[in-house]
Amino acid sequence: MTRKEYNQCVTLYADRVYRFILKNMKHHEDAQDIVQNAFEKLWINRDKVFFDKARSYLFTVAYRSMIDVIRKVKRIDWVDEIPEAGEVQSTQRFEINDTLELGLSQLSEVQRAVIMLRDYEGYSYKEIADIAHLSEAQVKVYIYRARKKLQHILVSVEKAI
Amino acid sequence: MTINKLNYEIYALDYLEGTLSPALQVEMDAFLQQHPDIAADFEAVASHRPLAVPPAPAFPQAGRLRKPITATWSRYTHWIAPIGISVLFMVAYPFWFHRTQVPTAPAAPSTPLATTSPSTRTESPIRSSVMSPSRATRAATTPLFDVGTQTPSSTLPTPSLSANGASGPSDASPVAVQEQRLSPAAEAFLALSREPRRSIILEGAAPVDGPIAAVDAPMMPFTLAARHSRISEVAPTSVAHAAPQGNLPTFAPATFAERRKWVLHASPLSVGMDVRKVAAQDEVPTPLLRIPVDETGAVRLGAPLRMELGAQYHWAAGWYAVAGLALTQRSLEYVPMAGSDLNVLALDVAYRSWSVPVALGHRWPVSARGALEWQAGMAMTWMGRRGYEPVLSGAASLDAPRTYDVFNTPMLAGKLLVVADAQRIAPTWHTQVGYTHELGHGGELALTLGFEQQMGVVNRVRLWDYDFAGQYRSDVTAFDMRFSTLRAGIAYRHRLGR
Repeated sequence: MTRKEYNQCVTLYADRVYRFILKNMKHHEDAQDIVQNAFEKLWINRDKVFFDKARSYLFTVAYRSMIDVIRKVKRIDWVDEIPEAGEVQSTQRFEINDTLELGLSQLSEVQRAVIMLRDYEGYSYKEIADIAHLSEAQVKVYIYRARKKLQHILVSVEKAI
Repeated sequence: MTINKLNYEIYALDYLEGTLSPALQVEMDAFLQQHPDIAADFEAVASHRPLAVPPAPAFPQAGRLRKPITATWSRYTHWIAPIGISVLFMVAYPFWFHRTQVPTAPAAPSTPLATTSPSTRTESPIRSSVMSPSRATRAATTPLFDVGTQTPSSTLPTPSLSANGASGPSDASPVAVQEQRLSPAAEAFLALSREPRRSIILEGAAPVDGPIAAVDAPMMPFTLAARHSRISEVAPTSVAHAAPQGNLPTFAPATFAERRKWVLHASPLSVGMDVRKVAAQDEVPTPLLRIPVDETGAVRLGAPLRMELGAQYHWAAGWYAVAGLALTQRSLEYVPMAGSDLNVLALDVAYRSWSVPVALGHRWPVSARGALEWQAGMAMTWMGRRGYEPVLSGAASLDAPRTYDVFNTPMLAGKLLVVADAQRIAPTWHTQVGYTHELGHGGELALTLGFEQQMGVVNRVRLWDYDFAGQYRSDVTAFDMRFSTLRAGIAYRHRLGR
């Protein structure tokens, strides 16, 4: 990968990787550190990583760093950051994105990551499997369960509203 | 029954997305009819809309991640030394040997001997480039032997030798002699010589490999090279030898003149281009190229640069010793692994190799038209991250030219390759026929057709598997098995100087 291609990767993927990590971690500083670390690794290994594989490489490195951080720090407290359904009902400002946030917050780490990779980033099941070190069948099961859970949450929130 | 309550989730998404096979789809329908609770879940999931992509928060430090685009000299530093030396060599050459030319003998018609003798078969660029290093060095040694009077060598005759009574056509022919004043550097480096031989060579070959999966097999190599050699007399005396006669009644006995001498030859820069195919198990061989059948078998371009220096020393009775140094710089691209369903790449990155061949040989003319030769040597090659390869080799050959222009060289060679964990013996058999046609004004066109068969495992090719954890797992496997290759070559060679 040339220097120019590396810079192109920064332009194309920095925001997307950051968004992916931030959605999973809800912690800006950690997300920034992870993205920076991923690009640093990409730069170090630029002679070995080809441009067309850079996106997978970045997401893989970032995902693994994120899992390490989550397991190490245990800093994330989704339920505290996302308003409870009851509070939302009282404020009357509950919108669809907030509902999704609430649903995502109640998924497991792996479920959240794979469904975001699928729906936000448009990865195939096979690519997700590579990134998350899972089998393709596992990925499908995780996504199925995540969608089922999300759907239940959305329905229950709509009923509450 | 494939689908049950334990595994239906694996097929659920494919079913909902309509990518399940028809048979499984029927099975899933039946399964859902039996389990209405699961069918309700399916309906719920089917109504799930993909998450709307939220507005992307900009990564605040993106500017710091970018690297400035500057002139990256470091990418080219490894070219500076070979190219610099080559340019210096080529530029300095005319000044070294043609700075002052003082005629010391009356001008006389030039003889065919001194200028354009076509007996250049042993210097065929195709032979020296396509074959192994030991083979190449061996090929370069053969012009030193002045075999009788029927096969005059274009490199040997000099006035001083004629004065010493060496046999050969030069004794009887007046030769235009020009004494050259050499620079001290030239004298120190190359010593005296009166037969500068420089050439620009344009050559190509189209090997057709046998049914193997060789990772690095060059396809249709093409080379543009500038080479020259010089011959220096160590002792201006010559000794006549008689070839054995009694047991070889069908061959005409030959006397040949031989002198102790040095031969220095250099190929300052060879620039090549080759087309490489990727090792793939399921590729289709064609007469000239193996066409890959899937995207993993991409065809890649390579641009090898090669620089060679060599020296041979010859002493009495046909013995000679050879030593050389070759630097090869090659740029390659990655090779996707065939048959891999993972994101695993076998990287074959640019590499630089240094090779030092040394050999001892003996050549004995069994007739005026042919010579029996053997050579034993060793070539040590360092290939950077690929490690090193010491190759021991022995070869015997019989050169039997039928005419000046057609040559036929069968050769049997054996290689002992020492790798990190094993020794492999690989007998190899070569033969080659060729035709050289003089075009005049120093130009020659050579056509060759050769066959090479290797009958054992030789090369250990190391692959580096790369995974996304940033780890290399090296030494994956060994490739390059026995092979047979048919090579057709064409070369244009233009000689410079006299």
